[in-house]
Amino acid sequence: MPIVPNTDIPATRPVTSSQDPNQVLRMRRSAFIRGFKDSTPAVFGLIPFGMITGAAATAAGMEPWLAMGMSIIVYAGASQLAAISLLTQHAPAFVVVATVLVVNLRFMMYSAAVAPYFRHLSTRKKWLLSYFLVDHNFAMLTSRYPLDHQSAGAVANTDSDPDPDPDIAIDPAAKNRQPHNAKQHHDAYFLGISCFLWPMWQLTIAFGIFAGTLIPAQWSLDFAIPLIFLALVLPALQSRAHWLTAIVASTATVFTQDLPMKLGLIVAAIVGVSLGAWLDDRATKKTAVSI
Amino acid sequence: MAINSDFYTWSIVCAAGAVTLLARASFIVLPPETRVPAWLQRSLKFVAVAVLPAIVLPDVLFRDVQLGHSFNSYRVIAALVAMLVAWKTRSIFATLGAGMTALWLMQYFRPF
Repeated sequence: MPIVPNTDIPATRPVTSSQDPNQVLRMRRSAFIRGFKDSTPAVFGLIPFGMITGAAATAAGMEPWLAMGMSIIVYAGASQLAAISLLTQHAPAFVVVATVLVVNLRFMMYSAAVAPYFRHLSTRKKWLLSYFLVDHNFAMLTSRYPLDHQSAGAVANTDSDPDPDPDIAIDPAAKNRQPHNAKQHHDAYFLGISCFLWPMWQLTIAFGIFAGTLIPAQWSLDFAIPLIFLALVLPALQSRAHWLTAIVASTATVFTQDLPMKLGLIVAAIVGVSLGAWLDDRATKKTAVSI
Repeated sequence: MAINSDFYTWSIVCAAGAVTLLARASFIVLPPETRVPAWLQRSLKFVAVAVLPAIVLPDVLFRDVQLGHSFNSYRVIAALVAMLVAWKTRSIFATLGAGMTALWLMQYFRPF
């Protein structure tokens, strides 16, 4: 029986397995460095945001180690601020966790968009890379290496047929544009971005937490939390459905203030999102009919 | 007001981290033929604009009422200023700057 040298190399790197390992390593390293370099502008843009998040956490009365631990465990700025805001309002545990989940549901869309890039990896690596998935590395990976295949586009697998053979290039159309193997190191590129983003984010948070302990309470830095949310929401109000959603959800929270355990927030979110989705659905159907 | 680092709060943080990781890993670890449900796609567009104002509003409107003070007009006015700036500039830092400055000015001069 002939000796097959590659049998013990797991299916995680199907294409590269037939190559010189040194060359593979070189390519992976250069993909990693490319990611690291590409992420520099995004990272510097994050510095003030991280510092404000850290300082606002302390100003809202969060103990420094708890704020730092939360930043490492959750690693998603907006949802951390939402959790802090709710904890100061004495919301019960499940309301805090549900809110964090809802604010972070967008990661599911990112997850769907980047999944084709990681399909050849082992489950353990998939979980590891998942932890690092944030707005920036999702945007950079999918914009730098767009998948021409319609199915694998930004909103993912809606009409894809599954790609059962990992040996087939993720993006067949791109084969002409760049060397086939380069496509196989998206994980290294992604990790390169993350390995700059993650430590810098945690450092700036730590700095913000430290600064927050020095800033007197009269500065009302905890007010930065609602301000950041306003800054995120107003530009997102791009249609009548969005406006109505925001107005109805806000009104609902005010009128459900007396519900126990901050349940009003859950009610408001459900009412708002259902209304928005319904309006959106109706608008799409209308357009479809008129065409 | 303080959020203590007790076991209860750490548990909340860990649970929040777990659900966040699940959201991130979802389609990466699920079989490739899994599709994004249409209702999810549709709803996600509206999550931020429903949830964030619903968190902000009580925080701004009722924060000091709960602390035993009267209706907190400084924060409400500063939030309105910030909304205007957010709408015009679409910049987080301009919004933060305007809102904080408005609050600080009112806290310093106490016009009413």
